[in-house]
Amino acid sequence: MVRLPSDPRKRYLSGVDWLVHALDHLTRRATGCGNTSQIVLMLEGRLSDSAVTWLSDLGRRCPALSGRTRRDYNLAPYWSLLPAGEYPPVRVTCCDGPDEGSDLIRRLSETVNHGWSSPREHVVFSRVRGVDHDDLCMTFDHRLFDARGAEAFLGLCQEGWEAGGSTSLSDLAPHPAHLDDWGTKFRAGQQTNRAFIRMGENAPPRVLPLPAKTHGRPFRFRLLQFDEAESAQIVNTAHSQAGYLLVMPFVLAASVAVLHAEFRARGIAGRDYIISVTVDTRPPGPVGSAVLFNHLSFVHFRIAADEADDFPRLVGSIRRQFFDQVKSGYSANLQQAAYLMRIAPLPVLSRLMGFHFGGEIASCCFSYIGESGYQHPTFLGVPVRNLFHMPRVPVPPGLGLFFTQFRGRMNVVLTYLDGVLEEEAATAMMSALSSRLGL
Amino acid sequence: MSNTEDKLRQEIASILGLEVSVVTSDAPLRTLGMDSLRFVELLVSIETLFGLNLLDSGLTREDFHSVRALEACITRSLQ
Repeated sequence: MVRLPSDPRKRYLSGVDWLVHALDHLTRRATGCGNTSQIVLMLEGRLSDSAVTWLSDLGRRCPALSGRTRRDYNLAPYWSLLPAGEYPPVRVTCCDGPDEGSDLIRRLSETVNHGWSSPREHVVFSRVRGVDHDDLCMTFDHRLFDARGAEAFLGLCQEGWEAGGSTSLSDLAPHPAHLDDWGTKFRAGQQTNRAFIRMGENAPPRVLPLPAKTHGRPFRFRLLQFDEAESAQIVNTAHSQAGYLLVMPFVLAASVAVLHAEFRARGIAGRDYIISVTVDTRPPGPVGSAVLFNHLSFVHFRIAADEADDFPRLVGSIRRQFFDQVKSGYSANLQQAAYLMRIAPLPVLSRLMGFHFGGEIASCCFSYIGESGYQHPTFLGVPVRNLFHMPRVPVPPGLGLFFTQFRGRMNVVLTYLDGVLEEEAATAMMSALSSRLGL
Repeated sequence: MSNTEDKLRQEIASILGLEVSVVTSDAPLRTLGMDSLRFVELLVSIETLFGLNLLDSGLTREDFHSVRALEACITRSLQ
């Protein structure tokens, strides 16, 4: 085993971190802005001025927020921190909310589409002032946080606030360089390669065409918010149609069915759908210390058009593929194999990502977070009414559906690159999705 | 407690990262933190341990609600 001296200002990136870097590079090359995401906290009151100052001061309390990626002498990429005392504050912006009846989501999308002000900026807070309350957006860089990690980071912020300033945000949990156990990694690479070849047998997958010019285009978002009763009904429907505790396969099937309807309406035929699903690889329960960076892997589902036409058959296919991939260790193999990719420069890796699927990554991106990483009733002194995500997605495909649960309430966000869907089609898709979920 | 129940409790504890003592016979699996991914991992474990593929068995709440219910389902399936 190669043991490198530990450096508190250095955190080696995992293979999955490097894949996320490549997806960021891909999206930045296509649109001019990377793979950012945004958590929206809908609050039941206004943040105080001291709370806003606290947010800005997070840059000093959490040095990782101003890090950047470098390569070590051994070629392993790592996240590098600035020297102590040089940490910049976190940018906190403020704007008025839309007029009553206007589109809040469109206003909230402005920050996630805006881009970073410097290579060392990875988190921005935006306070959107409503009539009698604030909505707070945390725009974050997916290279630094995955979705649940970003939620947990907000939780640490809240705990630090409650503790009057002391916080555990300053620790950069070490991650070994993983420059060893190459046999395991190569075997995992073999298994992953074979699985990708099988998955891509009928490649390229169906995709919605991108607009001719993608650079400078923003992402658009649509949101469905279900109350507790509606969310419980969705879960019950999932239990009866997919099986007990199989909520993810059910909502994925509903999403594919709705997507298929759009493809059919546009006359896009031929070949299969490939859906890329992000799975959180942390143990169940609180996020714990695994807040920063990416603790995830992927499963991929290949859906034939005639399966997508028949909902029970679609659910069965997803369930069967999920079982087979868990049994074969697909996600774990992909995580291990990804370490082998760290040697590849990002411009090369981002082009290689579509190799097995005929130049495409997927028809659509998807994730389902069943347990929120944010467990507190308030944020910086203000009760939290709801929490949802607004992620940009890799381009291609420039299309994604994301489900989250917050205190028994399910939220669904459709995200698409401007030009991939017409406004009316996006509206119709969300309406159809609500019906397909059993409401 | 039967041998099957013991095996199930150990498997579920391992999948969920819990102490075996926390996985009681009547505790609803959902409240222990079982989600879709872990549930499928459990189905894979059941196939490995008992040679049973329950994927197409209906996967009802009654059969999978708790360790005790799951033990009864497995026992029925093996007969």
